Amino acid sequence: MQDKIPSNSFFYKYRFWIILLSAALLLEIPFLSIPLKWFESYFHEISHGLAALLTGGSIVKIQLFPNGAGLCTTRGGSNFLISFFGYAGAVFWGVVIYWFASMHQRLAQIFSVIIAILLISTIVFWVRDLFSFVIMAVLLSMTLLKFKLQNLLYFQLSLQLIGATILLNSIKSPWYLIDGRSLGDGAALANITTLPELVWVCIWFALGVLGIFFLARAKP
Amino acid sequence: MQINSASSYTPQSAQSIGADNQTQVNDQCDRLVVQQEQKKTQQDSSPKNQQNRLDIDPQAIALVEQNLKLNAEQNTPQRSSRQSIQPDYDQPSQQNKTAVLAYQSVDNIDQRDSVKQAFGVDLYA
Repeated sequence: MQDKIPSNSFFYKYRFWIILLSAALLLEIPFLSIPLKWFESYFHEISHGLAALLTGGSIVKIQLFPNGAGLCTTRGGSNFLISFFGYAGAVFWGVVIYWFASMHQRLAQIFSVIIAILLISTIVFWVRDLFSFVIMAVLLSMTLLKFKLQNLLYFQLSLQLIGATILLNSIKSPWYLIDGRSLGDGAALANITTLPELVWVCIWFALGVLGIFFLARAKP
Repeated sequence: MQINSASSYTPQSAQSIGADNQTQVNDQCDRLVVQQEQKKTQQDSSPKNQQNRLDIDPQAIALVEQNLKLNAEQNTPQRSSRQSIQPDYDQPSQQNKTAVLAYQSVDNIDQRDSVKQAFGVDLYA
């Protein structure tokens, strides 16, 4: 197979929507979708953590659970920004991963190395339980195994697919907060700002949709 | 002779299968009959009580109830063993499980709050 897609082909013209549709279908496949959900969960939790670090706080530990849930324990920092950047950060990571993967094949490789370094740092500094360790090891293996691919086009496509699944999951997952229990980031933001949880869910959803339109129009 | 002995053996075996419970029940039935006969004689002797034809002996009822309780207790281990063999009948529905999890999550919120207060950390899910 060629290393590049011909620019006059149907796939090249509609590549973003085809990849997005493929990602949506992948997320519906029972067992295959689980590690992809872990990716979104990881980027959600690390976004909480990075927001804590950037606002003067620290990360105590990060936990990931097999059902796709996660927990980030922080100390200090801005409660508002830490709460907000869980879902917003996942959208950001989804867009950035897809963007860098699409710009250039070498850039896709470099960005994969950055993700691998981030995963290793998380395992070393902030993972404290076996379940999270196993999940993180699976994510790291998925990231590193891509380097085994000889054809850079496959490498690029696989990273684009991961970016698209993170983006789609980050659009879908805020709606799980509307369960009448006042739990999670939406409830935390509602307590801080007095704006209802639904408003925050809509903001995160809107950010995700904007991310999709940005990538669709930019066509990197 | 063999046939006769066999035919006479059958009711004995039936009684032996019934074990002590049946003999107890028979005794109680005999007592009830005797008590009823005694009552009848008393009723015949006292014309005032002739209108109340149905008499209930509380002692007899107590005995029957006691016997029923004994039988129920003896049957209980059999039922539990059946339940252990076929646990599907007693499985809570998915809806009930969800309800229990939702209830337990309230406890988890308290746990989270206590962790937050004790260690001065924030938890983000």
